[in-house]
Amino acid sequence: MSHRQNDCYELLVAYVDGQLNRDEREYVLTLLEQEPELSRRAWELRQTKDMVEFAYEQVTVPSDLSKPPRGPGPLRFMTAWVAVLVLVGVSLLGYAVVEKQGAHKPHPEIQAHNSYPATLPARPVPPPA
Amino acid sequence: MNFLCRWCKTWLLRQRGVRMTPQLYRVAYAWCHEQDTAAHIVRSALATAVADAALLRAPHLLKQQVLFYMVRDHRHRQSAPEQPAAPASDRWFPPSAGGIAGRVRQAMLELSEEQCKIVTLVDLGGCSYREVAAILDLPVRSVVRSLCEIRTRMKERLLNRRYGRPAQVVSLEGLR
Repeated sequence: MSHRQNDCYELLVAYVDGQLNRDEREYVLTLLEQEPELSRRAWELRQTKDMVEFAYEQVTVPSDLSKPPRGPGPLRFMTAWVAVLVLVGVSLLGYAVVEKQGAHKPHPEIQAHNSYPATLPARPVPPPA
Repeated sequence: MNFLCRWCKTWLLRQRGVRMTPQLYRVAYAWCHEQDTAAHIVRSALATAVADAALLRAPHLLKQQVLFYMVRDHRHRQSAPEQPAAPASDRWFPPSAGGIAGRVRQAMLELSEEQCKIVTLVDLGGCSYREVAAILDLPVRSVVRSLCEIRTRMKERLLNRRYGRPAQVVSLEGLR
């Protein structure tokens, strides 16, 4: 195979693998239109690639592989730690919001009713006889 | 906060890894043709990649990194002393299998280890030539040249009928 043929073949293989940019693809497509022999070789390469893909499509993946991988070391317990942290954080946030809004205080009327008067009302003084 | 951010990124990486599992498994299976070995290679590579702190800064490189760890693991297994033979679990491609799958397997077995990795990374892993070069630690030019050679051999093996088994002439004289 001459140097030019070798380059051409490499270009053809890259074209079949979808590795070329727009300009290179245009160049190859022009070549394929002009040379039927090249077009036949490209078709054979495409067919070979499809056969490899087809052959391994049949392989089914074991079901246990679809579970998320567990990280080694401390990462293994990270999920539990994050869950606890989130829970504590949400609780603290909720408490702070409630505290700020003063929701724990009773309604003013109820508060007035329940509260002991600061000063006792003055007892009416009976008029002098 | 940093801890939470890191955890979220790791979780996202794991989910992306799980989505890639079928593709990765087929690549590993094409290397070793054993279910258990392929599953183990994929599982350990995913776990190592997810735990890789550098990957959190470049999550788009997850597939490349996982494939890199898979290659490393497989090479390590190849160089390890011979293990006792595992029970035959190759039910998709039994050695006597005919049809396209059997022929492809035979053709793959005839390739060298590196050639097998190159062609599977491109065809089954969907990697670009640059990614393959990075994963296998080769120059891009070598990958292209190897692929040309592989394609030629595979084409001859799979498409060219004259490379098939030659017809055998059997003498019938002794049968009578």
